[in-house]
Amino acid sequence: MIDPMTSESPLIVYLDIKSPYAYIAVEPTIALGQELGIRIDWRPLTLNIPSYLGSARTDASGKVVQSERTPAQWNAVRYAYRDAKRYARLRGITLYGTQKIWDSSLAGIALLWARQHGEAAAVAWLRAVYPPFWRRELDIENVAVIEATLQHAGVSTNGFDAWLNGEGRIQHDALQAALHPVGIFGVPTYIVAGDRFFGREHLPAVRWLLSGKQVPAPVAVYPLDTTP
Amino acid sequence: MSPLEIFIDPFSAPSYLALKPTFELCTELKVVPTWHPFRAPAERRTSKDLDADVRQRHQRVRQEYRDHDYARYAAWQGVPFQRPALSTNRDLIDYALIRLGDSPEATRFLQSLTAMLWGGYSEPEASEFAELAGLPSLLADFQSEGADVLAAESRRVEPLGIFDAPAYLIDGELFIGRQHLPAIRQLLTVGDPFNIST
Repeated sequence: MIDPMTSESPLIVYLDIKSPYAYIAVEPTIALGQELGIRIDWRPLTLNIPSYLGSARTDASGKVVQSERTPAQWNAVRYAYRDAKRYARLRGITLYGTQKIWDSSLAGIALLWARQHGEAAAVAWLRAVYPPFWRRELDIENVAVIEATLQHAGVSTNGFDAWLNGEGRIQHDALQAALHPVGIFGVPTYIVAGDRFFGREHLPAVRWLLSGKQVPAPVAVYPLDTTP
Repeated sequence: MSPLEIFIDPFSAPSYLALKPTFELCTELKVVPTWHPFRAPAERRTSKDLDADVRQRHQRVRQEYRDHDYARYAAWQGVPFQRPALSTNRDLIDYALIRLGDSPEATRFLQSLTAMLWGGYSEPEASEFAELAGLPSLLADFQSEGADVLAAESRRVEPLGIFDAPAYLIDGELFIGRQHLPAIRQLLTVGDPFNIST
């Protein structure tokens, strides 16, 4: 059982492949880890989007064909995609809106698998899966597709099939069940010094805490990062 | 017309925490924004008794996190953080802010108001708001036109798609939250970092 709040690494990061905000947080987070010379423990948080943003489905043209969202939820969702896209554009990242709410648990289990092979494997897998998924080139509900992303990242897939339906699924589901009780609910979430930070706007605070609070505390902001 | 419009709810924690860095940015860049009132959605606090419903549980956990996050940043910023009681004068406050708009007095009004609201002081009586806003005829004007002015403001704001405060509108681009201040700085100085127009 993975303890949701503790790790051998000084920084834990929770991500979900289907979150655009998590996607655009990945590279700045990797860069921060490299800058500080610290290890990062990458973990999955499989979002239950309908529980806070309602549910909806669009067709290939983007037209809404089914929706259980309120007008306020639609405003929030439309804004969130527009916001993520403009910051992605800053870094030359392609980010198309998704056409449905994906079940990303399989990808979450793959992240747990990659994580077992070390931080470098987890990072390589994140880099292998996020860009094509947000170009609408990956079906992350397809086992063969997920296995291919692991192979593309150089992560061994020997035994992955069996692990996926056994220990991997058990680990994933147990971790998800343990998150709400400790106050973790969204992505990206950073766990540092026993405290929780939701959103990449807290990267300045994460840096500040991991650097020993040498300067006055920062404001929560999105730095204008142009790192691809 | 100011290049920067800011929609603010003096009673909401994220608006309050955004004010100090926003004032600092505007002062540094010599920008006088146009201030607008915006009522942030009510914070939804649910009981642990409702945790069996995942939606209710998510809302509770999220709200508890927000409370923790706002308090921690307030402590780091060194600003008081005593949640204000809901005011019976909110319409009057909104009207005063609309009247002040892009006047430099709006900043002083917001500074004084939020210092009282979040500093644990008693809120002024309705009659005292005129002095606080520097608008001697505030109460009389509010009684004669307040409802119409507030309704017109609501009609103007609705199509903008704002759903929370603080919200910043610059060159038609909407930013919700203080986390966008670096982008707003760039838009106000060297230009559009996102190539929005292309």
